[in-house]
Amino acid sequence: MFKRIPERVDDREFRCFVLEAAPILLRAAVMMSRDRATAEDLVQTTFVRVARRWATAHEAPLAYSRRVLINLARDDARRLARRPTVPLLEEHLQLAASGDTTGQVVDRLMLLEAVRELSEPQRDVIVLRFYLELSVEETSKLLQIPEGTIKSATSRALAKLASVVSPDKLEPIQGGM
Amino acid sequence: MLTESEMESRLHDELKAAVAAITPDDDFMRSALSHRPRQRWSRPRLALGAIPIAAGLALALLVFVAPTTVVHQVKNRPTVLTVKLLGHVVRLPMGDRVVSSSDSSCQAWLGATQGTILNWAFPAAVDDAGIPNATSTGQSNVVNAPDGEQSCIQSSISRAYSLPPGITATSPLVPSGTGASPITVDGDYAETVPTSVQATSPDGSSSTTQGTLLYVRVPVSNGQFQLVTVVGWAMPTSEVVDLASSALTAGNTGTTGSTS
Repeated sequence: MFKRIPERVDDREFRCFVLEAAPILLRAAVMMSRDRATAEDLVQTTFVRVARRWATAHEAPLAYSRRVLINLARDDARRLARRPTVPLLEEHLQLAASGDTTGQVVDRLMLLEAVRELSEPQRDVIVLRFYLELSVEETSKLLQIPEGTIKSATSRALAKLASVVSPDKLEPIQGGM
Repeated sequence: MLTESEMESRLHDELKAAVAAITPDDDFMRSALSHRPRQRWSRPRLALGAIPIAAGLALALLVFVAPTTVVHQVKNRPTVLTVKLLGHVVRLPMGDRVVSSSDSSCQAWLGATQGTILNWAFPAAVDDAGIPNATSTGQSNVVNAPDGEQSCIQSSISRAYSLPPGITATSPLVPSGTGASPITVDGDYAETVPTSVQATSPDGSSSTTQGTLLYVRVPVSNGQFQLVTVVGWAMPTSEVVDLASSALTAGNTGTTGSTS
């Protein structure tokens, strides 16, 4: 007697979200996973889950997908903890498109490798705070870790990364992205 | 040496720069864009075709249920349907109706005037001395139940009596060959028997239907017993038993009288 009628969902809204979020999520996933293939799988799985829950996610899809990706990456990292990390290959960074010098590319590869070699909590904190630009509070909520722990993890991670972020190691940033 | 704040700022810039060249390729984007968001579902809506059905159901309820049940509306509680059995109000199982449909056996008595008599074959009964008697027949003025209630179930309970010699608490109540099935109701010996129920109006018209007789031998004080008799129609035997059980649980001792 009573019918539940599907409401029209505008696919364009979801497609726009995918176009906007794909590079952001993929870059975050590369930093948090063993290799680029794994990162791509994580992001695709994230999109599948967001699509499945679009009714809920569509109000803040990027925040929703960030949370899904973080959870997937952490699950994946735990599941495959014993497997060695595959070094990022230069072609993954698509050198030809960047226009950077060889020295800059190498230094930035070192930075990414250094980030990936951090402990899981430190790595997640670095990615969330310094790539996805979340505040300490937002990072704390997303990772469900106290803010004090976020700050101390940040300090320890920065200390480990100091050697690859120091001014004499990297060329000055010119023009950003 | 950089301060922590400077380190944070520089790390932010360097990370952005380091990953800037990481871009999704065409295959990745094709795959990502192939996902389809799941449809959102609206709140349940009444379908147009259901309106006549709903109206029909409402009419049927008004015509066939309302006159034959007592509806107790308790504030802030859902409405419950009840029947009166053995002097006790018994709540009907959820979803059950006293009158089941327009062609139910109860319909014969809908609108029946005072004086309509019910008769049923009584394979066993009690005489004035409270002794089971296989030759009696039952009779009831079903439409004159209290509060105007008219339901497809009637009941009576005998006076307390002592068992005659040779009869025990679990001796058969009904002569063999009548289709009786021994059961227990709340631990007491009981039997169900299929029977026919005939309603006769004052103008002489009559109608007959199939029903169930239930006898329960209920122990009371001083080693005596009371015989509870329940007749129900337009409902399965199990429902007759359940309702009788509910009524007996509510308390039946000391009640004497004829069919209610």
